[in-house]
Amino acid sequence: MAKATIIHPGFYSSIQDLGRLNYRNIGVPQSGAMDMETATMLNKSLGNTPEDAILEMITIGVTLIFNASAYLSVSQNVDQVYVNDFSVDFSKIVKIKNGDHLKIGRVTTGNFIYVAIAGGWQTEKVLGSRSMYAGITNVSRLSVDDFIAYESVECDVDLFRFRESDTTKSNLISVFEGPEFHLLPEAIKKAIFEKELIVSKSWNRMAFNASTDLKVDLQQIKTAPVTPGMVQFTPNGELLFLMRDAQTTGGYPRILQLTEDALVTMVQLQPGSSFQLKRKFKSSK
Amino acid sequence: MKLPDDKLTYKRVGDKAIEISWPDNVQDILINRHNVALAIEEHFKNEVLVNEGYRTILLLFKDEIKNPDQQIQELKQIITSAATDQIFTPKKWRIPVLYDQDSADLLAISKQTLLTFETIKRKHQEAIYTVEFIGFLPGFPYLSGLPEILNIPRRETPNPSIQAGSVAIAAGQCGVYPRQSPGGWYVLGRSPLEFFEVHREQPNLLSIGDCVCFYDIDRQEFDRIKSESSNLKTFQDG
Repeated sequence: MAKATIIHPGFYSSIQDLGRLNYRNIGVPQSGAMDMETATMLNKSLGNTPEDAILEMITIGVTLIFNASAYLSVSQNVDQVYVNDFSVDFSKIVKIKNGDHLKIGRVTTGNFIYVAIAGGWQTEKVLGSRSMYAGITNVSRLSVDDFIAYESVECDVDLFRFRESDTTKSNLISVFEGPEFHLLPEAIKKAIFEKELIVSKSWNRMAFNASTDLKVDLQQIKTAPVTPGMVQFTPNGELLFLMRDAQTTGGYPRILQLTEDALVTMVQLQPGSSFQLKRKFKSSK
Repeated sequence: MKLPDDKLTYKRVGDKAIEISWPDNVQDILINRHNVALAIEEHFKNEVLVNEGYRTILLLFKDEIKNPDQQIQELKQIITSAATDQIFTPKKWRIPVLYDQDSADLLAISKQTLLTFETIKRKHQEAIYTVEFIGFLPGFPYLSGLPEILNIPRRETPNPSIQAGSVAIAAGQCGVYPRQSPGGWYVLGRSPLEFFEVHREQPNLLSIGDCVCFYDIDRQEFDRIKSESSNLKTFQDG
């Protein structure tokens, strides 16, 4: 098997796929690519399946050296992509030769950058998934000298070209009521959709936060299942938007539930950016 | 025990999930809840993931739920015809613990309960616990059955690093940290057993419904069990 060795790991880089849904009942977080939509699109661009693993980076790209040829598809939200110190056009599939250095630049819009490879990255598969997570996979985050295995496969480079419209952004986050929405006082039920919210600076693959001045002493609930896309409300008015690595159960009231589209939009909102919640009603009761 | 199904609440959660919840005033729902969870799993097979909490079952459907009303009717049907007798066979575990002799956490428990360290440990060992569900961390069991006298609130500020194997209590519950983690519970001691090992045939040591009691071991015994990677069956009764 071919391998790409990490020269520079970026800020926080890991291999992700669709995650491991089937082990939630024994407390294993789902994990998976934060921006599933981009990950799926990049895989498709190479003729991969949606299950193929991709490389995810947070704000700063990796530098890798390849020991066999490869075909890569890079998310369009980076400033530059260099192969052997030359800036390359990454609006199409990037071809890599044996011995090439690849350097992915910095994020331009959003938080998460992706590199898909023809045939998919072939890191260790644990409990049905290659998504890296501490205590599940041996490597939980890539560091210098780690290598990522891949199969050197051929790929039709004329298959795909990115368009501008692939990276349209919005700051409206569509939400359904969560299981404990009814516990909120009427005034807060209304206020929560009228406020301009700000993505807090403390965020990670487990949760994004947004503070509000809505302090309400809700009763704690009996610990119940939580999933990525659920929004918990803490006693000091913090909204916790649960992300892919969120734990599987929680005790704060689950007041909202993001749609899958909204979750993908949310993960690419940079810290400090503002957004608003848009209420979505269920088609029937 | 069986509940009339109109006591249960059915809630849609987003496009792909339904949550079933049991009312707060009904006690001892575990057998009924887990029977229902198993019946639903059996019925839908791979179409749905079943996750349990204390008083809830969250059903995550693989695909968008096209007709929620019909889906809820179908669920009610399954629940009505679900077995009333316990349909699962829980294991009985005797879990060795090297109790702390003296620690900040024991002191905090002692201050709140007005019990001596010795009484705290004795009370903890006298009880029989039941695994309500697994959550928080991979393999972390939420155990009910903690004596009321040991019911103390969670820590105000979480402990940034609780060691793997730590047996801890808070908010009327007992639990075991399968790996090092920040945590909000008070630690009584450590077990040498691996509560979660991803490459084991069954990664989680404990499963929903299992009965657990704890017994005291010394440092030597702790080290012996830890180094021998003992057959887990030796910690089971019957």
